[in-house]
Formats: sequence, structure tokens, C-alpha cells
Amino acid sequence: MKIDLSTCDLNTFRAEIESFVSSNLSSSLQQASRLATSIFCDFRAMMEWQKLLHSNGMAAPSWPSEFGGCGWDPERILIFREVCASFDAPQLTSMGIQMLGPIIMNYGTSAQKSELLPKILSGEDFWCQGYSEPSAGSDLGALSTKAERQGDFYVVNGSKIWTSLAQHSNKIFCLVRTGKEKSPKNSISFLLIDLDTPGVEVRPIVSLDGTVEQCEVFFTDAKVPVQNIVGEENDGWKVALSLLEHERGGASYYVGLRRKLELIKEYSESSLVSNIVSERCENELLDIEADVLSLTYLERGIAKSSEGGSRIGALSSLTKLIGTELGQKLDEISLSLRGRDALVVMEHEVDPYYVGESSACDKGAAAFNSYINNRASTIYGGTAQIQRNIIAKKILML
Amino acid sequence: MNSEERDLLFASVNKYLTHSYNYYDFRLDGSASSESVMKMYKETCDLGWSAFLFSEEVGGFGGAAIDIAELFEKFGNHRVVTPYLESQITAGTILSGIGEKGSAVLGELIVGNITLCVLGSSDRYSDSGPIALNLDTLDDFAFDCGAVPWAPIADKMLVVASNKGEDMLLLVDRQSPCISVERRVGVDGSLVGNVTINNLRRDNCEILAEGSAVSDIVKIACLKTSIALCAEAVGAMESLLRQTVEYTKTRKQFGQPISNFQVLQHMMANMFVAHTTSHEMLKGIASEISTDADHLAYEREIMLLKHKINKESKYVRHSAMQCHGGIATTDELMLGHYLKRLVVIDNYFGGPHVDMDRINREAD
Repeated sequence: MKIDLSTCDLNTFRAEIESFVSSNLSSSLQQASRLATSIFCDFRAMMEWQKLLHSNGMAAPSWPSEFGGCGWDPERILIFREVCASFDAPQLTSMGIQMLGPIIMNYGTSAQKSELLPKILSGEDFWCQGYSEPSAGSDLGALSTKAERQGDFYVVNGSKIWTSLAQHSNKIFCLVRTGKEKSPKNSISFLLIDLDTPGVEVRPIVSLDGTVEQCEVFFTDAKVPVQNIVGEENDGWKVALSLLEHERGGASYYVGLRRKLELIKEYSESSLVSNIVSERCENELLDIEADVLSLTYLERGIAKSSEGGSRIGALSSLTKLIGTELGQKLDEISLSLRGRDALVVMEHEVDPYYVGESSACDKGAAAFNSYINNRASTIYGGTAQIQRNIIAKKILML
Repeated sequence: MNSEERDLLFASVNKYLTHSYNYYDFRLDGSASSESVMKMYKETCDLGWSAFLFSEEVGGFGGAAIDIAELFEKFGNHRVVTPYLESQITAGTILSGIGEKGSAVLGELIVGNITLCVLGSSDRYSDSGPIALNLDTLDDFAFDCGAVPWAPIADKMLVVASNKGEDMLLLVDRQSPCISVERRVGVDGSLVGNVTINNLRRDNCEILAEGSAVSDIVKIACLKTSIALCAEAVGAMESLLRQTVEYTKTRKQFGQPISNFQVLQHMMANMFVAHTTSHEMLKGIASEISTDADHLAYEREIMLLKHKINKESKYVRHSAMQCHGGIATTDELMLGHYLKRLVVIDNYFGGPHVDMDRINREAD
């Protein structure tokens, strides 16, 4: 008899997931995940893993089963993530499954649900997020990309920036200004746009680590069908904010941090690191271990709590703030442990599909890239300062 | 104990601490006597607070780590001066662990007829292990135990000893000629004694336990003490955060409440992060521990918790002081008294560096 994963006891659940992951995860996918230097793993590897999960019905553990998700409770979802992390499975990108999916379920029309959700799961659609603009970063409400209603279309003009993985995407969900009011509350709409629409252009941005993760997206008289709006016209700010909470809180930072800490500890104890360095790092790593453990209990508590509304939103600011700052500390230690090996530019040997030996230098280079790349983690998704503002205003009522 | 009884107990705790307790009336400074503290000790034991810290098997009605954590969080909130930690938690846990031989003294302790303190465990303001002695020698022998909290009012002392290399737990009367206590007052308003043990022999002590079981019993007692201390710190941090938020909303400079300034808002947001992560870690660990023996499996987690608290409490108390400005430096404002107690908690097992070193040595 097949075990029902939604109802079996948690130990059985963990064992089942472990056996699934260990028998399905190839070594090149593991390699890709280990060499990932940001929240985004190698694109091909990530999609390969998503397809594998999808063919086993596990691409979206948190989605209700009516939409093709697993419908698991929060404890199972966390166990699933813990197991995936312990085997170094590629992390799926959050834009489709974590962010847009729940928005469509909550605010979408039934046509949007039946058309879009299955393609998010299968990977047929790959979504990117059009929120930030050159003059609207932390002050997102100041965005100025315009969508003017003309008959059955919106005509979109303006540009978006820091659009992660747009170069791999076929679709973008955007915040656009549809109303005249200055306040974002009644003048912004949430619009879905095909990237192959005439008048849409994607330009990659080369990051400091030499890779392309971010893009700019330009809109020049791009015609978007009116049925692509999610929620009511001019009511997109509400949708946008609920999505940000999914972006910040839907994650479980402790899962990745625990694995990262484990790998760094392992390396620091290896013969490659001099005793003096590893002794010094020992206490710093202990310090982080305590922080990661407290974050573990915090995130598990939040996941299990039935609290809703603005407080859970504000708590997602809390975990985003802690999780990203801890990740940065780990990167600093990792960089210091690797010494001069970290200072060379990464070569092709670290391609996850590369067959052969990868050198210590490449692993060192990965530490450097991770350090450089994760400096962005306290900037994207609301800067660390914006998160502190939210805590001060929404929780401490200052 | 069901949740209704639990609510009732905490209602009594809140009522007592809000209406009948005030730090300034209870603290010991200079010549003030310990009378109020001891009166409260007896009254609250009668109200069942002490029994709540012990399991049913030994005559209490609580005793799980989360019970201890929640009561001590309240103590922290109100900056309570009391020997509960040393007497009920450290000594109480040791007595609970040794079975029959400890039960008579334990009974007296739970109802609040006596107080105890422990010598030679790492619950002292230093970090030496058991006291090395020889109960059978006639040579002169003196051991300086250093500053021991509440030693001056303890009725009995538990001595964690190594007698000619064998671990032992001894019970000694405070009035015994082999114990001398110099009375001092602690920076946190408590009573402290510099204790010296002189020429301890078989005829002036009772051997409660010996052999290999001793070290685990003592370790459990230290881990429980650690959880209670951390809980008290979390409670104190909460009070500091609350008072700071309230104060900055009232205090005006440049024509507006200073809480409008983003730099202070971010300091308070960081205080919130510090308190919340500490609180969740405490609650998470404590709720997974139900029996005394469970503590051993959580040794590393508990030690990491203590380390986390050391770090976060320093941030919270210093930021609280900074946000308040000059008024925070006065004896008149409670703030400084929370700060002092948090420093005592930092150094309770020898200091943050000792705590960290101990994780590396003992809980790998």
C-alpha cells in the first residue's frame, strides 16, 4: 500500500522524503546546488529538479492539492525543505511557486487559475517579478511605469530593474500605475505581461561576480490584454504587499543556513585550514550556530502559528532581516577560511555539468562569489533598513 | 497539572508581583535586612510557586523546563530578588536526583521551610569543578568557595566534592563549624556570601550520594539553572524593551517625541529582534524538555542558548540605556537595576568566555 504523505506520522514522512530525494537527485544536480553562490542555483539544474519534483507531484509542497500542490501542513513543508537541503538539492526559484502562485489563488479569476497555475508547476511558464524601478526602490510606491487603458488593452510604458532571471523568463508580473492619485493605495494595478509582447525588451545586467542574474525590462507602447490584470484595476497595492510577505516570510532561512554552517564547519576542521585560523573561527561559528538555532525555533513557531494579518507580515520582516544578515556573516567566515584560494576568478570547471576534477581554487572562488552576491541579500526584497522600519512601525507602534 | 490550574497559578504570580512586590523595598543595599525577601519566599512557597518548579514524583505539580522558564521570565520582568534559583532550582534538582536520601530535605525545601545553596558546582561565580577533599585526613584543610549567592541565609549547604578522587554529594549544616560565611551584598540587590570550608570530616556532614551518578545529577542541575537564568534574562530584556518604547514616545526633544527619530527606531527594532529570537529559542528548547534527564540530551542547545542570551542581553541593556539618555544612569530608574542583574547573569557561570569555552570542551 502506498503511504499517504499528508497523513502519515512525521518520522515516516521524513524517511519517505529522504528516500525519494536520495534516489532521484543526481550528483550533477547536487554539485550545482553546492556551487550555487546566491539564492539562485544554475538555471538548467534548477529546472531539471523542478520537472523531477513535478512529475512526482512535489513541485509545490505548500499549495493546496486542488491546485496541484501537496497540501501538506507547515511541519511537513519544513521537513521537506530540511531534507532537500541536507541532500543539497537545488533550491527552486521563488517567483512562480512561492510568490505568484498564492496571489493567483487568492486574487485571480478562475480562468487565470486554470490557465496559469499548472504552467507554473510544470515550469512551462517561468515568471519574473517587475516591482523595482530606477526611481522606485525602497520607495516602491513611487513607481511610474504606466498602463493606460485603450479598449481591450493596457498600453504599458516605462521600465523595471533588478528583475531576477528575466533572461530565462517568458512572463513577468508587474506593478503598474493605472490611476492618477499619488498614493499607491488607489492607483496601482497588478498586471501579467508576456515578455514576447512587441515593445518589451530585456537587457541583462552583469553583476560584480561576473554572472547575469538581474535584468532591466523596458516597455514601449506594449499592448497587454485587459484580462491579464490580477484583482481590480487600481487595487494592486494590496496584492503587491501580500506578495512581499510571501517573498519575505514564505522562505525558511534556517534550512539553508544550517546546511551552509555545516559545510563551513566541515571545511574549517579539514586539514586544508591552519589550526590558528580554525581556532579563531571556532567561536565565531559557535556564535552563528546559536543564532541559527534560535532562528530555527522562531521560523518553526511562525510556520505553525495560525496568526494572520499584519503581524505575520511584520514577522516576515523579522526573519528576512535575521536570515540575510546571518547568511552574510557566514560568507565572511567562509571567505576568511579560504584565504588566497578565494581570490581567483571562477572558471568553467564549476559548471555543474562539467565532468572532471574541480580544483580548490574553484571552491574558493565560489566562497568569494557567494560573499559578493549575498551583499545584495540585505538590499533586495526590502532593505535591512526598510525591515527595521516595518518592525518599528507595525510591531513596536513607534 | 491542567491548563486551568496553570492559568490560576500565573494569575497569582502576576497579582503578587504587580501589587505586593517592588524592587526598591526588597533589595538589599548596605545594611538592609533580608527579612522582606525571606517573607516573600515563604509566602510564595505557600502559594505553590515552589511546588510548581518540581515534578509530581518528588511532590510538586510542575517541574517541566517550560514551567521553570515561564516562572523565571516573570521574575525577570519584575526584577525579583529571591533565592529561588539557587535553592529551588540548583539545590532542588540535585536533591530530586538522588532519590530517597534527599527526600526529607527536599520536602522541607518545596514548602519553603528552608533554603539551600550548592558549593562546588559550576553554578558559582567561577568555573572550578567539584571541591577536592579528603574526609578521612586529619590534616588542616581549607577551601575558598568564593562569592556564593544567598549563602548567608542558607540553612544547609550541598557540597559537590571529589573525595580522594571519588565524586560525592555532601550535605552540611550552615551552622556547622566547618563552614564560614562572610556576609556581602550583591550588585543585583541580592545577598552573597564568601564561603570557606574548613576541615570537613565525615562526622560533620551527611553523604547523600557517591560514585558515577553524581556528575550527571550535578550537570542536570546546572543545565536547569541555566534555563532558569536565561528565562530571567529574557524577562528582563522584555521589560527593558517595553520601558524604552514607552519612554521614547513621551520624551520630547527638538519639539517632538524622540521615538520619531529613525536611528532610535532602528535601535529599538534591533532590541525587538534580540528579545524575540532569545525568547523563541528559550521557549522552543524548553518545550522539548519534559523530565530532568531530558536535559542531558539538550546540553549543547542549552549552552548555545546561554551564549545567545549573553550576547543579546548586552545589546538590549546597552541600547535601552542609550535611548534613555542621562536618566538611565540614576538609581531612581529601574532600568539600571535590570542592567545590573543581566551582568550578574552573564557572569553567573564564570562569564561569557567561560560559557563559550565550555561549549567547545564539553558539548561537542
